[in-house]
Amino acid sequence: MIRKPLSRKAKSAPRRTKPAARPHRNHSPDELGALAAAGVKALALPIESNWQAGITFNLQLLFKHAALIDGFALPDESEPAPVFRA
Amino acid sequence: MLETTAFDSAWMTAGEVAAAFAAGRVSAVSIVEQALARVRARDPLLNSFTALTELRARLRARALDDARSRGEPVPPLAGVPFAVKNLFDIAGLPTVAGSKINRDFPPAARDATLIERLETAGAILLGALNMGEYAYDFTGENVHDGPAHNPHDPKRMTGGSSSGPAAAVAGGLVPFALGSDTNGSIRVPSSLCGLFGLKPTYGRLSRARTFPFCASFDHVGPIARSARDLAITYDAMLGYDEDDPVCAERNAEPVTPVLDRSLDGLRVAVAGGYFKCRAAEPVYAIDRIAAALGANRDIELPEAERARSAAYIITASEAASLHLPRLRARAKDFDPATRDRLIAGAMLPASLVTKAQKFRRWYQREVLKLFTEVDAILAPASPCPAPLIGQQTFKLGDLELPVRANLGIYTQPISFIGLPVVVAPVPMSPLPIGVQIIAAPWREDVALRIAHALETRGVAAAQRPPLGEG
Repeated sequence: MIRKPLSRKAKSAPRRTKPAARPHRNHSPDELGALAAAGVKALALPIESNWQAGITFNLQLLFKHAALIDGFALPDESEPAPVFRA
Repeated sequence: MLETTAFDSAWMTAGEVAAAFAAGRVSAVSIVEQALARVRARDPLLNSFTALTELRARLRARALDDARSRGEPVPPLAGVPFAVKNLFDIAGLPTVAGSKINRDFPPAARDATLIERLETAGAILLGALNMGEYAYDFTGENVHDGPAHNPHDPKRMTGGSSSGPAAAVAGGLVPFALGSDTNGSIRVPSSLCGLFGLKPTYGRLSRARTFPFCASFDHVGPIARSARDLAITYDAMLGYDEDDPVCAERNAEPVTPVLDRSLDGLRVAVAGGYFKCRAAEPVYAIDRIAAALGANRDIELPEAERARSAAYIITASEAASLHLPRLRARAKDFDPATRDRLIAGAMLPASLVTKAQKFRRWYQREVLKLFTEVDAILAPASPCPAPLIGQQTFKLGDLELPVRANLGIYTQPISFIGLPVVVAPVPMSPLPIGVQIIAAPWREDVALRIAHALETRGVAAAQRPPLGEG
């Protein structure tokens, strides 16, 4: 079934945006491993050494997703939505 | 009164069971005994229940029978058995939320609000249902309780995290069950088990006395074998609740009275761009439903991929914050797959989480603009039919993706901004798959009317698996 587009693609950023951030570079497992090691210490999390790889893998995944958001320009006046209303 | 053997409620809808009870064709005690017998017979295979409330159910059934014999008014769900994901408080039981750690919690003092409302409407609670640990799951696997099994093929996943609700309803144990949905935990299991599922607008149904996951986009709702059952049960649960701080102060807007209203004039489009699935089954399902609705236009949700990423980040951060004390005290008692993600989430810089929250507001405004052009949007509910239990990856077009992280790629960008969604199951062989019908905030009626019309036309249906017969 062929369907026609209904609306124009929305602009990727609204009016009065800041310049797009420089694309996030990929972090190496070593860098994120170091962040994880420092983080568990700062947060007083008692982890075992064989958990480190799983934590670092997930941290890499999170930073990959974060890079997409970090690279999206928003106006300085943007409000966060921590108390969310539909 | 008919004997139990003459009345087979295994695949009856909640509406049909309630009608039979109201007409005096069956007793509530018979209905409950049948349901308990089905649980005993089938649940060793499905592994959907983690606790049965047999005594409570029998007492409740007897009370309903007595009230009917006294000629008292029969409430709308009288005699209908149901069960709840084990993150709902059930008085007298610890609320385990799929975990080992919460088993040490004291028993809940009071039922969750939605259980109270359903019982006021005459429904009968049968017990608590399996789920992914702390709802951080799309697979239905659980290292503490074992995986729930898909009734269409017990070697396959139910999807998660509302795994037990989907297995129990698709397996014919109960006509409906309650689940929760943060990133897709009602919609993914509904898709994989071939069921109707409703994730209402954020703030519509009370979450009071349920164990949280990510407070800013936790939702609760029903899973059932018909769209009408979704409407009936949803109507029974409506209403403001001061015990849930985000429950909206809105008048109850029941859907059942308008369910059969014509779809004439409703504008339905298909989500394009990010939602253009490259796998055969979701494409077939979308095309079939789009054709039935005459939805011949595509519409693009702007920056949906970023929305999914923002949902991913906020989820990890909020869940990590929730569980930080338990990670400090009892990290070894978590499922390792949950624990590693939670610890990683605790490391996320606040600057990135706040940016995700700002993006969320921007994205919500952009998507809401689309609802000036359309009334409903169709999108896949899952990128594939049910994978095998233990399967690590699946193919999506040319890509091979991890199952655990990606079963919710099409649901995350929707619940993230609180839109109401009904999943409509499309029968396929060998496995069903679902389509999301997404409506504007507070327009559950639109999504439910469309799902009901599709069911009436035979396009959407909850197929009875071989297991569900007899």
